[in-house]
Amino acid sequence: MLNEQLFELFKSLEDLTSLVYALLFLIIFFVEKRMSSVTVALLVLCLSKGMASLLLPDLLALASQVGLQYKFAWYGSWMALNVICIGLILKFHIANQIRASNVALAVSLAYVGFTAIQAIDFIDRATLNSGFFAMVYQISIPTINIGLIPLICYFWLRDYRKLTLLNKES
Amino acid sequence: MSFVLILLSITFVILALVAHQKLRTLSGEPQIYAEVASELQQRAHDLLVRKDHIEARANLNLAEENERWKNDLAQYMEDYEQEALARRRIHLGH
Repeated sequence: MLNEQLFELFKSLEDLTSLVYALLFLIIFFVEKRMSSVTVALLVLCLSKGMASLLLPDLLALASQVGLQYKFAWYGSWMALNVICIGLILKFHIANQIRASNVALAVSLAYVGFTAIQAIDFIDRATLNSGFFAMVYQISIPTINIGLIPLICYFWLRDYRKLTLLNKES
Repeated sequence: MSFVLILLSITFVILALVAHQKLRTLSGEPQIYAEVASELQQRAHDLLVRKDHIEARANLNLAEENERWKNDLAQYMEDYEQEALARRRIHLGH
């Protein structure tokens, strides 16, 4: 079925995102040569991807057991990871006294989105168990992951252009 | 049991939203900069008005008045530059 093939393609694209994030971080870090709001956001993004891939096997084993508390172990740990990531971005900005760029805002908004989707899916599982949100969950998380890449590129290029224009004048 | 878990997941969402909101306040211009910018704008406006007055009047002490105006303008430009440098250091980290 075409739909299934599309989904497979989607999944394989999503596996590449962590690589693209790391690549973007390296490129931007070498271009800017300092810790800025953009590099902090990308660093946290890479960190969360790494943590996710470390946690995934254990959590999968845990979630496959029967019982609501095991389901919560799966959703809750993702939610906690997302909240920690937003907190990290926030702490880095406060500690370094840097202004939050659009990239950092987009990344933190994506984390808020992940958390909300996970919470909704868990509540659905705990109460109605309709299974509709399970599909939403499976599709929307790769979509956000992939959609972040062009968004980051666009916002960063816009900021970078502004910066070079500022430097040229002085 | 499930009630507590649902409450916990909602708490996570609220925590995420609060942190995001805090980050958003960091992205805006702080209030003090807006005030300083408005003050500088007012001073520039006053200088222009004074220049207009000087040009409209054909007094004898025009030269002296003009000299004072020029001094004020130089002072203003210096302040403007200092402010711009400070702002650039804070916002762009140079």
